[in-house]
Formats: sequence, structure tokens, C-alpha cells
Amino acid sequence: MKIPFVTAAVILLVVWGSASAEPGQKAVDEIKRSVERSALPQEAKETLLAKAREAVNAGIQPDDIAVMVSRGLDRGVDGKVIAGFLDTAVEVKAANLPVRPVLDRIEQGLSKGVPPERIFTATKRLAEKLADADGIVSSLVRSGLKAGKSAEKEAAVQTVARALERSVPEEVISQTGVKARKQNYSLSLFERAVDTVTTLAENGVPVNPAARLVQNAVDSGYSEKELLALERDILSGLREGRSMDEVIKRMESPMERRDFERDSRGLDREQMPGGPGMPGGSGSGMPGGSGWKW
Amino acid sequence: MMRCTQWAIVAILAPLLLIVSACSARYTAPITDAKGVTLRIHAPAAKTVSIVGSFNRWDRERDRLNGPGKDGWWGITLPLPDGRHEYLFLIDGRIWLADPYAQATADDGLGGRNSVLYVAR
Repeated sequence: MKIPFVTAAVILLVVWGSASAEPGQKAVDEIKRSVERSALPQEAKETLLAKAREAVNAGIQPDDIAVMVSRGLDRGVDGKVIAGFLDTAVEVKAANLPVRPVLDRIEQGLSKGVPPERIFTATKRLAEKLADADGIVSSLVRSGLKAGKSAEKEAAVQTVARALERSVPEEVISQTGVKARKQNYSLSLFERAVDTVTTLAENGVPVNPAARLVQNAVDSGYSEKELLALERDILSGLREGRSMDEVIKRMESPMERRDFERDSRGLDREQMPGGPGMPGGSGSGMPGGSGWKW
Repeated sequence: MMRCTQWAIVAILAPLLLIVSACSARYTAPITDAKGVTLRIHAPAAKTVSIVGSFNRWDRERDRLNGPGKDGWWGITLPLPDGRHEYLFLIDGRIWLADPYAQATADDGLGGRNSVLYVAR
């Protein structure tokens, strides 16, 4: 009786194992097919395949590698340039930085037909900003900003990198972090605040008023959802043709009212409750895959 | 000489017509419910419309909008997770269009701009 049970368990494990490996294997097969049918010289094909294998082993999702390789080759991008894209992704992953924004930029650039050199430069710049952002976020966490799961830090690093790329000064980001820490807020609220400053700046609000407004909102105890609502209200006000001053004033009044109400109740700022959590962006992360056949 | 001029006029007018047909597209703001996020665009002259974005690895083919209906509208409902998503519409595989009803726009880091969608249920 025992033997059939063990056999059944083994069969189940094998079937489960092959089923779970299948999506990754499918992507690996696609990479091989794309490289094989490309017009690259044999040596270049081997180099690109080796680079793709290295990326899989570094933990980059095979699906992303398949997209970069096949989309790149379909668009006539040189094998060396595609290998350069993969190198950048591997470097970012090895530095323990979020790799999703880098993959997104490469995949996006290839899809839109952006010249490969420009994609390469933009990706390198983003990798640098991610490293800078990691330094800023780590320093805020060390100084007491509450960090939960690793995904929370990853999301914060991605958002700070986006802010740095859009020329939001590091000082503004750090000040926002200090204010969030004083309010005993978490990293995810800090991330939402930086995201709001960046989005406002990207949509026509000058950085300083945007930062002042958001930092006041943090001081007033705004939750993540309230910060998002603030951002939406400002942008829709601007879309409706209202002047910047008018929109900002309209946003400031509820904050002042809230501060007044809180002060009347005699609540200290640090006693104000934080808002409900909202998930941040998604990071990549895959087991360092090497059960796939090359 | 005459033929050259005619070809030059055609060469100028063809892309202009394409741009005009793309510009005549109308939109509605994205609607989020339990099924997902519904995006619509009015583009009666388009042959194909795709939505291309961070949620589908910027795949130009994967998420084609259904349409056009008799009224010229195209639409799609995507099961997007909560979070921030960037996207553009792609008309006839050639013309990239931002969604003017998007909650915000963002620099794409590559010299262009994307529409931004926040999903928070």
C-alpha cells in the first residue's frame, strides 16, 4: 500500500514541478527561437544567448528577457545593444535595487520605436537615480521612518527615483521624509507624498508650491487616500481652467480647517492617526531560475 | 515636374489625414469597478486600437480594444491590480495617443509622455 502512495506522490511532484517550470521554460524557448532565427552572426547569437542565460540566473524574469530579446531583434537592434540592456538590468538586480522600472523603460522604448542609443542612455540614467534613491530612502529609514515589508521600501525607491529624474530636489524629498517621520508615518505614506509632489510637478505645478502643499498636508495628518484625492483635485481644477493660485488656495483651506479643528481638540500632531495603507508599485523578483533548459 | 508636385501633395496630405483622423478621437474617463478598469475611445475611422502600457509590458498587440461599435466607440476592460499604471492608445499600429481624460500624465523618460492611471479599490 505504501509503494503506490509513494509513487503517486512522486508523480504528483514531477507533474507539479514541470507545470510550475513551464511558463519560465516557455520564455526561455522563445528567447532561443528569437536568437536562432535572427540574422545575427553565429558568434553574436552565442554571446546574446549567454547574456540572456546570465540574466535569468541573476533573477530577472524570463518573460521580461524574452520581450527585450525578441522585441529588440524584431526591430533590428544590434545584438550588442540588447546585451547592453540585459547587462544594465543585471547590474541593477545585483545592486539589490528595484529592477522593474529599468525593464519597463527598455520594453517601452523598444515598443515605441525609440532609437536604441536613447533607450540605453535613459536606462543608465534611471539606474543611477535608483541608486541615489536607495541611499535617500535607506537614510530616512535609519533615522526612524517606519519601514514595513521589503516591497514597501522597493516602491519608495522607485518613486524617489522617478522624482529625482523629474528634477524634484533631493532636499525636498528628504524634508518630506523628515515630516513623515515626525508624524510617525510609514514609508508608504512618504512614498505617496513624494509621488504626489512629482505628479503635480510633471503636470505643471512648480515644484516649490507643490512640495509646500504636500508637506502641509502631511503635517495636517492626511492619509494616503487623502493625498491621492488632493492630487486629483488639483489636476482636475487645472484641467477645468482654474488658475494655479486659485487651485492651491482651495486645497489649503481644508488643511487649515483641519489644523484648527485638531488644535481645538487639543490633539498633539503626533497623536493624529495615520491613514489606511495603499499598496505601492510592484517590483520584480524571481527565483534565480535555473531549472530551465538552455 | 507636374507628377512630382502631385506626389509631393499626396506625401504631405496622407500623414495629415492620418493625424486628423486620430485627433478626431474622443474619450471617456477610465471607470474602475469590481471587474476591472474600463477604458474607451471614440475613433470611428480607426481599423485597430490597442492599449499599450506598463501592465502588459508595452505589448502593442496584447490588449486590443473591441470595436468600433455603430457609434464609433472602442472599449476594453482590463483586470488591473491596485497601483500606478502608465499607458497610451495605439491607433492602427502607428499613432500613439495619450488619454486626455487620464488622471495625470507623466514624462516617459524617453522624450515622450504617458497617461497615468491610479487604481485604488
